[in-house]
Amino acid sequence: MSVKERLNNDLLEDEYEEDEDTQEDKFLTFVLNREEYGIEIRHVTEIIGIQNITEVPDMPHYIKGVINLRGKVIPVMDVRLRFGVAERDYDDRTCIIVINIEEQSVGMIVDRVSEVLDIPKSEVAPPPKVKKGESSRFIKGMGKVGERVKILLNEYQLLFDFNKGED
Amino acid sequence: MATIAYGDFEEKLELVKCFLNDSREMLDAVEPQIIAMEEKALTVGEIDEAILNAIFRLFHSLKGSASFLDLQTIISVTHEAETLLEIFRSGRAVIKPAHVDLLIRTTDYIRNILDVVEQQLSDEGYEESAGEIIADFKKTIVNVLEDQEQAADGQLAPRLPEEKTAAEAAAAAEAIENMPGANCGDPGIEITPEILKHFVEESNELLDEAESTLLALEKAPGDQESAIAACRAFHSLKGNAGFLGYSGIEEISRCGENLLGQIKEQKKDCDPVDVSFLLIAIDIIREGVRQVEAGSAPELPGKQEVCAYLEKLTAGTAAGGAQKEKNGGEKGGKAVKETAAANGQENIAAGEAEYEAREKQTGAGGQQAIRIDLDKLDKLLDLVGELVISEAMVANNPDLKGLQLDRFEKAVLQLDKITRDIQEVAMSMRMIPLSGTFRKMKRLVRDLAHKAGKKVSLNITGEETEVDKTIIEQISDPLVHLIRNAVDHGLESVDERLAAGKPETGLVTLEAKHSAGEVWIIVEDDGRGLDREKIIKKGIERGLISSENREMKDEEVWKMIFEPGFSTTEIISSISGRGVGMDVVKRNIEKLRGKIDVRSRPGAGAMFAVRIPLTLAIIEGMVVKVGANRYTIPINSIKESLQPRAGQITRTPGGLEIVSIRGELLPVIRLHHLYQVKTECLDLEEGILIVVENDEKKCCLFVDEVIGQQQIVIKGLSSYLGRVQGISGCAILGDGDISMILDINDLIINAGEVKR
Repeated sequence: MSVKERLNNDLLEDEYEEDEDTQEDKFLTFVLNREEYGIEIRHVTEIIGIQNITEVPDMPHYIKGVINLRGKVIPVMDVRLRFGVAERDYDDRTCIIVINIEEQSVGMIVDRVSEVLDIPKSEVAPPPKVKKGESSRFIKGMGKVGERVKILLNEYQLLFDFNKGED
Repeated sequence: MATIAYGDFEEKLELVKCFLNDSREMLDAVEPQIIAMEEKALTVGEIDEAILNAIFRLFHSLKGSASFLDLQTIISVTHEAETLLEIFRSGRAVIKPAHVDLLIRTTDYIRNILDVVEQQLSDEGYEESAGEIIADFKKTIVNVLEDQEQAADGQLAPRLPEEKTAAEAAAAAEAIENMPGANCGDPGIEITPEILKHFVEESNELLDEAESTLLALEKAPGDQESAIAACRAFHSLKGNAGFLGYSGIEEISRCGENLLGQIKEQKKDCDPVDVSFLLIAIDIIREGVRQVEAGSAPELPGKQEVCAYLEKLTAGTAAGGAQKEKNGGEKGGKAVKETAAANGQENIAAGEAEYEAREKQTGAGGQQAIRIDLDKLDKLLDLVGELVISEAMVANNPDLKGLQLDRFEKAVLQLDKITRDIQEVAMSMRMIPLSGTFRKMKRLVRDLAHKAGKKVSLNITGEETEVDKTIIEQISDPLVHLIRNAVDHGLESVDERLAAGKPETGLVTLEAKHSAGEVWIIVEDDGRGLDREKIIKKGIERGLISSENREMKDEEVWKMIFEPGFSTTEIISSISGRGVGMDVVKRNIEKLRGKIDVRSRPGAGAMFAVRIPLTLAIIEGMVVKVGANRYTIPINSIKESLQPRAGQITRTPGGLEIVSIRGELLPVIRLHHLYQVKTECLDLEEGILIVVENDEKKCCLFVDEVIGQQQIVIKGLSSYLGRVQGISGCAILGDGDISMILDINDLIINAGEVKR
């Protein structure tokens, strides 16, 4: 939990600064199925623990339902299912990252949240051009942080691209 | 041009905004006045001076505020309108439909200019456009003045709109001679047999009304409404009689009105003596009207006595009122015997002045008002929604389970009451009377009637009914369509109407009222009604129904007219016939969670009743449990709930389950199947069946158990999820969980298609 609190504090600070420049190249990283992913921090509004999710009928399988975020009804997506990775029971490290893109608030369920990282553009390589795996269209680039590689996600595709790979 | 003395841009913006608001309000007010004036001029042949003055004033104010902003277009146009009105005002000419058209065109033009001003903060570039209207005004004014001169050559009085034959004129002249008070009436108005006929008709109606309301008043002496209605009837009688110079009738009516005025103002209790004398007055007037009808001057036997009595009764109250006596009726009556008649007269005059002052006050919207930013109101309403949720969260908090909490419960009850009150007040702040919307319909009907060449009168009731602002915004279009249909399709042409033995003027009624948490807006016409055969034929053609279905219920037939593109008219007129209208009506009304009922009788007319729930944001809901999920069913669609016995259930070979309830066979929708929820409760006899109804169609919803009833704040499902079948939104429950609100309409429609 302490990670989460710290991150939320980071987010708050970012908000206070109100300066887009300082948010650039900053990524929130999280773990999913042992891989580390990153999303641009400017889309993230907050990080919360797993909550009671109310099912909504007739939804794609990766839309788990809706949660009540202080009186707001927000849909949540299981990113594992979105990537076609096997489902896993939620535990106390499971987090919902609430992101806001184009006035839409959506919660993303991830295994756990790691940290906020600076990944300058020079350290970002284009996504690999392998056709394998349906999740490749969600990738914006590969961020190198020292020895390790973080998969940087295209948040827009993640949320709004329903054309392919949907059941 | 159009440079504004105020340098500061902000200030100017504010100024223009104010100007636009005020001007639009003025235009909204002036249009119905113009139409009312035309109606009166055409039917009674009278120019209502009060209305004329009101119109004049409005144009004048418009001119004034426009000149403040130096909007030359509006100034010049309103100036011409004033000039024309001035001619009418001085009684030198009569109003013709062409003049009214011109005035209305002027208001339209000003509206356009206002739009322009809103865009660019000035009327620059539109100076030319005013020229046309001004030219028309100039021409009209010249014509009017010429007409008037001709009229002055021929006769003393200006002409009335109707062209009269010599015989009629002679008859009218004779009528004038017969009238005792002719010369003290409005000078220069000639009385035609037309007018006499109208007078007689209207007077009889008014007398009937006065009589019935008086009788009601006698039964319920405190009934303000009856008193007001009766007073109004006497007032109208007085006006009409005065206009035609029947001073006798005028006098009796005035006495009656004065007395009723006192009763109305509750300065006097209404006792049987009052009513008897008023009824006698009515009888005398009735006799007088009969004589007028027969062509002779009204003699009015017994007039003096009745007037004297009525005056005494009235004066008695006035005197009593001055002494602040509660039962002034009796005591004042005695006092009157001593008081001189002249004294009483003074009191009446004083009372009348006060009465008029009060009328004026209410007319100008006596209550105080402030303007509030709509955003703030919406925010308030949102917060109230949150409050309702939080209240439920506190009251049903799981931590309290199993505790004995008498005082807490009491406090919660109090909190609940206050929350509901706040909610009601917050809602009512967004409530606006329908009168603005209805007023626009007057204009619409007038225009439509002109276009279609029909005679139509629009009867509006309940325009003071208040509804939520959202409803006002959404209801206008459907109403336009419904009224358009009523005038264009519903009402027959004049010839057809006469052939069918109906009055040549068609009647369209527009009514609004509150009823059981709903607002009803009813559009009714007395035309030909819906053509069942034609609609069925068209329905078969369009493949909406199969040809065997000819025996279907009326309601089902009428429902087809709401299908997109459905139209039975062969000819598409400029007004309607493309089959878009009713589709729009239905969609807009559904947006407001409303319904529309159709009734029709061939040859007698059709009625469309729009029913919209008063509150859009908060409803009473029944929360039910299915597996781990909880769903909310709007309480107004629930008929009953029951635990069925085995004998009530039938399974069809197709797997459909049917429950027989008091002889009615209803299909069962298993919510756990529909929403694929895991539940232990699979046996119909173990769970609960909830009978829901929409549009007179019913079905049963099978749930595990009923949790309870509560106020539900409706929240939209995130637009990210799009529209979900069978779900109309969601609600946040007391424990913070979310519950889906079932869309009963959707469920019932799809009931037949549910598998298994």
